[in-house]
Amino acid sequence: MTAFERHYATPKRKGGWRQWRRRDAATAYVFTLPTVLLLAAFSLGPALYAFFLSGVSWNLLNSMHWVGIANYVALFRLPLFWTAVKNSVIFAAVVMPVQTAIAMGFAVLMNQHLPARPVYRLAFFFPSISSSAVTSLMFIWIFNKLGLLNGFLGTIGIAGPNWIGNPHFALSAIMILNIWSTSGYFMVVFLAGLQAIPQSMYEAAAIDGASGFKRFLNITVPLLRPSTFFIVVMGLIGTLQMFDQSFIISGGTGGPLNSTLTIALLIYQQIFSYGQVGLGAAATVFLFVLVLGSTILVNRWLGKPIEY
Amino acid sequence: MRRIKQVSILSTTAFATAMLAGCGVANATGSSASGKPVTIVVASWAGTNVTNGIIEQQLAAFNKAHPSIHAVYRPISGNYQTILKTEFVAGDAPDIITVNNGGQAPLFEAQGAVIPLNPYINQSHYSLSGFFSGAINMFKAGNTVYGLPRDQSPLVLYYNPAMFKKAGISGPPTTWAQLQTDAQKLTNAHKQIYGIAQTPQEPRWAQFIYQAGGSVMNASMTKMTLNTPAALQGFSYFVHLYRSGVAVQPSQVGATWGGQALGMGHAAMTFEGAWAIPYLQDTYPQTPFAIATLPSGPVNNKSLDFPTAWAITKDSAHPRQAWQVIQYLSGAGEARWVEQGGLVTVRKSLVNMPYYQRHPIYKNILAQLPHAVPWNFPNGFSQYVSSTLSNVSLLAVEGKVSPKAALQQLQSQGVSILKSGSAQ
Repeated sequence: MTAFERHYATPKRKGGWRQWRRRDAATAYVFTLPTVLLLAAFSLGPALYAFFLSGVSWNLLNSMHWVGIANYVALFRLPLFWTAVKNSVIFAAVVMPVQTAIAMGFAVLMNQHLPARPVYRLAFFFPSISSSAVTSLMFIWIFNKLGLLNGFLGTIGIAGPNWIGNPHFALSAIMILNIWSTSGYFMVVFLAGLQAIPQSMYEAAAIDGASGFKRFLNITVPLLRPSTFFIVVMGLIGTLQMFDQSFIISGGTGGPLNSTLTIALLIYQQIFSYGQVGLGAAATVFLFVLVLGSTILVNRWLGKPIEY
Repeated sequence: MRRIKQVSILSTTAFATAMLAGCGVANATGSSASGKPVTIVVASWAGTNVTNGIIEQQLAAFNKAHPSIHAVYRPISGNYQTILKTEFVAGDAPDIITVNNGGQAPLFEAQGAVIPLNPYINQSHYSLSGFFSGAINMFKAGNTVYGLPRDQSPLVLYYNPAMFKKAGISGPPTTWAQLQTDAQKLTNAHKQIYGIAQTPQEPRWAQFIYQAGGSVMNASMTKMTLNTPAALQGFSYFVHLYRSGVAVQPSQVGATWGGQALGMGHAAMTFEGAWAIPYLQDTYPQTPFAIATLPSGPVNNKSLDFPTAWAITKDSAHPRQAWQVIQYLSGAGEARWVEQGGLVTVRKSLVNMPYYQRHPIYKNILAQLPHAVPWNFPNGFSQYVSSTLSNVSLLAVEGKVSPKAALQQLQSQGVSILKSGSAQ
């Protein structure tokens, strides 16, 4: 309500205005109700339930009983949990920056007037619209000891490793797969961001004598910050929660030797395979805190509005 | 959570199927008085087309003979035990499920997810003496029977006779010493061909421990027995096959399991059960293969046996009708099972069925049967079985820990699970 409305409109038709406001609010609530209900039932509710479950002992088939923080104590003493945390953090620390850099690089390239641009755009975007189960199965064959990748490495004289069977390479293999499948989507986000940068900026910089690289560094990168912020946050959340690719490539075990065991996979195993629901829920809460904390940090770093 | 959700969509689909199935049951309850048949849902893991087809045929024959019951087959694809557990939580599991080894059958039994069959057995004077004792004992806790055996298979030696001939070896190895020297002769690392390709998981090394006179646990599964000299002898022999370069993990030759490595022609030998027969015949028809009983160790040529059984769940609204179904499946249906081929019978009398005479490939599997230990772990060992055992043996096979240290680790971890009183 502005000062104008308060001064003129309110005294004259006080009740009417209030009533109208109330009706307006009621309509808004009615329209948002289905979404709110769905979110509460299928998103917020289960999330809160996970907090509750982290305090119980339950194996899915018996009756649950309250154990307080015992699950957290057991979880932090579990060496396997720290292996999973290490794998997830390494995975996020490598994949997120690399996929952001590749996405930005390709977006800038795709923004140039290259021949057959739509074909390349399609090629880069295609992985992100394919099901991750399908791409994982595809990469199982590419990473096979006698597969496509090692065949290629063989032609240039490198004896390729047993990517999926060797604990030193298995996580790297999933990193490559993940970067391949997500960069295309983020490239499109960057492309949208690039289109929003006024062309006049580049022209002014060119007149001032800035080189192409300088223009990229001093105009493109800073002005892309809203897109970068979105991509870094989404990338971070996605990589810290990575589950499907590890699950499919390791056949659900997180092997070889737990080298592809991520926090999300550990949660799944504890709850559904080993019947340790409380322990898995405690790990879920830990993952929530980890994702929330890192998102807040990124927000501090990149979440500011652009200053021209 | 986004990614977990994607996976949960899969299980939601399963849920939806279960709910539909549940509706079917509910409808049947309402209308059974009016003469409509009662629906009984029979679930199993999605097998090959062969096994799926056989179960459907068995149920069709049953439905024809029992107009008051309508049994339907629902194969569960994906993670069988996980999907079942979620259905138990929701209270609408199928009426009949298939249970097997690896600690899941004991879990379902201990938690009351499957019901005791004794009252039904007594009521219908059903005889259990026709089953192989190993197969029926695995689904008994004390005197309580939780499942009627469906099929089983011991591990046997699969080999490629063409490769043997080429290497100048007259027949399959019958002793540990022969296994080692034959594997040596058959290995050509340059051509990516190895004597043996086998995942170093526990149901592929435990038989060597038995062959040396040892065991993994005592018979009543109350004590770990991996700390004996016999266990060490058996396990060391297994590890040595890999350390000496005559055995490899299937992934090193681009395969996911031993049967596949054999079919691809990268392995001359592997240890698998009867399930590899239809697989090899269908997928690699050009690769010749034959089956032999396991080579003898210092004490015997014991193998491991993997029985499965039909069980009735606590969620079944019609346990009496479900009992009729499993009674049929483990009796007349069992004979049909053998006629159609596929897996190995659990009924002693069916060993002489004409099918087996016409298909001599089964001869040595049946011959191995009396020398096989049903493979099982008590409740509480899920994680130990699915990850600890294979991780530690992988370290030993890769030479990162000695066989002795590996067994010590497995022994002490097993002991601590037993001590914690199967907390699961």
